[in-house]
Parts: sequence; C-alpha cells; structure tokens
Amino acid sequence: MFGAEFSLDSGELLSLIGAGASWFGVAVAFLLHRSSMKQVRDIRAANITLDEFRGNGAARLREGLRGVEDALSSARVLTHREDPLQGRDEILKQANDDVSKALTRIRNATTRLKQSRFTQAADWDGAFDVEEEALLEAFQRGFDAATADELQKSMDDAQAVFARMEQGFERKVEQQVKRLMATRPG
Amino acid sequence: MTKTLSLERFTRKGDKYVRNLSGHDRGRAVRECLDLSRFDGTEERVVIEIPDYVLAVTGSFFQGLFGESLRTLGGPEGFHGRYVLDARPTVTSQLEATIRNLSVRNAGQLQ
Repeated sequence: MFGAEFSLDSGELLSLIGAGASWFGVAVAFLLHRSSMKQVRDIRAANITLDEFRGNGAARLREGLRGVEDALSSARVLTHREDPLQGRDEILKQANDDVSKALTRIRNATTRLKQSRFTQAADWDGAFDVEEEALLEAFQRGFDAATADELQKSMDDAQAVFARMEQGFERKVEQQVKRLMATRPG
Repeated sequence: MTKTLSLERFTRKGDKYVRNLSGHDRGRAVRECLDLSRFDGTEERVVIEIPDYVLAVTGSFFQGLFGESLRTLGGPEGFHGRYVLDARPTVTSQLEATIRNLSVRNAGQLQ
C-alpha cells in the first residue's frame, strides 16, 4: 500500500534530494552570512567603544586631573614667596575651589565609566575616594599652617597625593584599553 | 514644615575655619549630633546649610553624613524630597556628583 501510494522512480528521488540539498545550502549560507554580519557588528561596536573610551571616558578623567594639577601649581606659587603665609588665605581659597571643581569632574567621569557595561567592571573610584580625602586634608593643613615649613609640607603632601592619583588613573586607563582590545571578536 | 540645620558649629572655632569637610567618621559624628535618622523618618523638609567658606566636601564625609538617609529614603529622588543642600555652587555640584556616584555604586542595595 505504502509503496503503491508513494512510489518514486530514481529520477524523482534524485530531484527531491537535489531540492532538499539546495534548501539546506541556502540555510547554511544564510546562517554563515548572519554569523559574519554579527561579527562585523561586534567588531564595529568594540571599536566604537574603544574610541569612545579613549576620546571620552579617558579624556574626561584626564581633563579633571589637569584641573587638579593647575590648581596645585597656583597654590605652590605661595611656597616660592619670601613670606609664604602672606596672602595665603586668598591664594589657597582660589586653588582649593579649583581643586574642588576638578575633583567633581573626575567624580562625574568615574560615575559614567561605572554606568557603561563595557567599562563598569573596573574599580574606577575605590582609590579615588582615599586620594580625594588626602588631597583636601592636605589643603586644610595648608590653611591651618602656622609656619612656612608647615605650609610647604602641606603643599608637598598635596603634590604627592596628586601624583598617586594620576598614576592610578593612568594605570586603570591602560588596563581598560587592553581589556577592550582583548574582548574584540575576531 | 521646613527645618534648617546649619553645619556652622562643626566648621568654625573662633577664627579657625574648616575649609574642607572630610572623613567618613566625622560625617557620621555630625549625623549623630544633628539626629538625622529622626528626620529620615518624618515628612519634614530639612535644609542643610553648609557655610560659604566651606570649599569642598569629600565623598567619604558625605557618605558618613547622608549614606544612611540615601538608603532609608530609597535613593536620590527620595533624598531630594527630604533634604535641601544649601552651599556654595562648587560644593553643591560636588555633592550632586557624589549622590549620583553613590546611587550607581549602591544601585543594587538602594532598589
């Protein structure tokens, strides 16, 4: 019965196999194409992320760091004066205000980096919390300094904290670039 | 009703001024002196006055002072509904940046 209803000669059988094979071929080609398109998209996304990180995330951090550095330079002008305590409050106030603005820029940059799924894995501000504290405490000691030596010491401390902060961020930026390069598909 | 709390008594002693508020423990101590936990649990609006000569407030100090309030009030929105921070503009920006940062950092805990 079965054989009678569905009997096929060898020619028909071959053409059916041929049709199946061509559909299979189309499906395989489609999957390969989709996979390669996804790879292209992933590479583009990773490249954009890397460029975005270099040009935006890292740049914002560096902009904040330059702000701290400039403010520190202004404050250190005091230490070259004959009487460093003369006019100290005015100069330190301005420098401290500028440091505060620059630290806010850094804080905003680390917040953005923590919000991006590409960069959130790194600990962007664990050390920054400690360094921000140490930097502003050094400035406070500058305001409280009773002698030129104490003032000099407070500014030296602030400079040393800034150096640690800068090195720490540069190291993290470098690690992040390596991580983004390593996660690029293909 | 609005209540105003000034930090002046913690930031000035005679002619000595605290220009930078720092230290988690100091923030925590100020919180206890001002009894902020009580205000977290009321409907009262509270203005925190930070004197103009204060030039910076560190993230750690803020966390000691308001970390618990942020958690209790469910994040920045609830916090701003209860507390108003009255300070020089640079300090206000700094505090807002800290609040955003803390809410990202503690997103899991605040939800």
